[in-house]
Amino acid sequence: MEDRPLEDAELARRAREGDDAAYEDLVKRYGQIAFRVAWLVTRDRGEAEDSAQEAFVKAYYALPRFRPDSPFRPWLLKIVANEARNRVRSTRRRQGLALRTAAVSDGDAVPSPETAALAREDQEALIDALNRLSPPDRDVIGYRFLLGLSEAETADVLGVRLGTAKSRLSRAMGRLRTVLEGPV
Amino acid sequence: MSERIPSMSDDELVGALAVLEVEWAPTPDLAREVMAHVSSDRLPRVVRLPLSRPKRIVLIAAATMLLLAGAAVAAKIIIDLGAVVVEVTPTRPGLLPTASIAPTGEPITLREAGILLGKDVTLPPRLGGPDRLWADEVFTESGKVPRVTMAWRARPDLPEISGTRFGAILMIFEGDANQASKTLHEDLGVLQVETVESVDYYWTTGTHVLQLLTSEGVVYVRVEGNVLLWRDGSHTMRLETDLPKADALRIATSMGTS
Repeated sequence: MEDRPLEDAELARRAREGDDAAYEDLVKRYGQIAFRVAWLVTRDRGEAEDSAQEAFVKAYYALPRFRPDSPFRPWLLKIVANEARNRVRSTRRRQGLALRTAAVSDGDAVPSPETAALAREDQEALIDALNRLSPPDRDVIGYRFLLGLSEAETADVLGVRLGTAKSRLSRAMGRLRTVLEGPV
Repeated sequence: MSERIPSMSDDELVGALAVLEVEWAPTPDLAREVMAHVSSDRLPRVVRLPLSRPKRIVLIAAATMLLLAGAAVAAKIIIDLGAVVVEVTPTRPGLLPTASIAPTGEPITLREAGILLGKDVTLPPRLGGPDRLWADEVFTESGKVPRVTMAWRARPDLPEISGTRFGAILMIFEGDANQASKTLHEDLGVLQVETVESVDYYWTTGTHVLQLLTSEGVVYVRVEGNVLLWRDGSHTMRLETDLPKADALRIATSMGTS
């Protein structure tokens, strides 16, 4: 994990010099998180795919402006979120697709200790509570905890200052708790 | 719901969210589509010159020397907008360049301009879509940066800029590295500052010389039109027209700033 920033920077440097394979590695590395960020913004699979794709193309041509000493992932995710938000604005709609718990595995996979510790019933209760939050509250919690973005990355993706992102997250968590404690 | 979740501490709730198994939509194969776009000729790369290392160094040095050359000749630097510096000299130049149009690079589309600049290009409503668009890519001391130029043909409400067939030329410079230097001469033109909604707009008139860094080196261009300069985020904007200041300002402010 310690090597990731350096490795990203090296791949970005090579991509900037015209090494397309290096950029393809970056797309493969961050394709999933980019798509999920775009999906949380658009709530539409097609729009999310187009947003993530267009963002990677824009990021490629913006590589000359990427500072090699800064981490690649937040820079990329900011472009992804901007692209997705622009698409939502231009289509003037946002899908109301709700979050769902993943299907129960029917195989032999052994759940991780953490997952096993969170009963299916509790998972569904949490998902249900998240779906009852307003989209802005659900988004900030989604970026920070469901996608595991850092606080700084969450701020970048939201397009706000770090302090603003922290306070939004705090308020959203308060409202989540209210929903959880309220009548079902 | 079990009783457990409502009674969780904040840390436990955060932990529970972090291990939630959400059903995400399957991630598509982005790499194939993305690489098809960035690798094919459908999106032309802008002036990728097969520069030798010595030539590249010369161009970067030329960029950094733009300021120094101007400072040596002139008395003072009046404004520094990052990509564009404007100087005023007290005396009329002995010789002005004859070229009126700077090399602008390769033709591109509006969509490609947005990709190069990293943002959607906002068009001034009065001008509408440009008749021509180009992009150049220049080597500066802080790396390679794109420059987009748009031009609108002269028409009844957009008088022709002397020496060109266009009525408006908008150049968008990326970044803070110096790419252009304008030298105004006190007895030939004026420099004025107008502030609109906290944005400073610099208005220049009169024949002057524009030193411009291009992918082919530094060029000297004679400018006859009226020029408005301003900053928009990481971009420096340069609008050249034959319009009066109020009209040029209306066009510029209608584009908004980020």
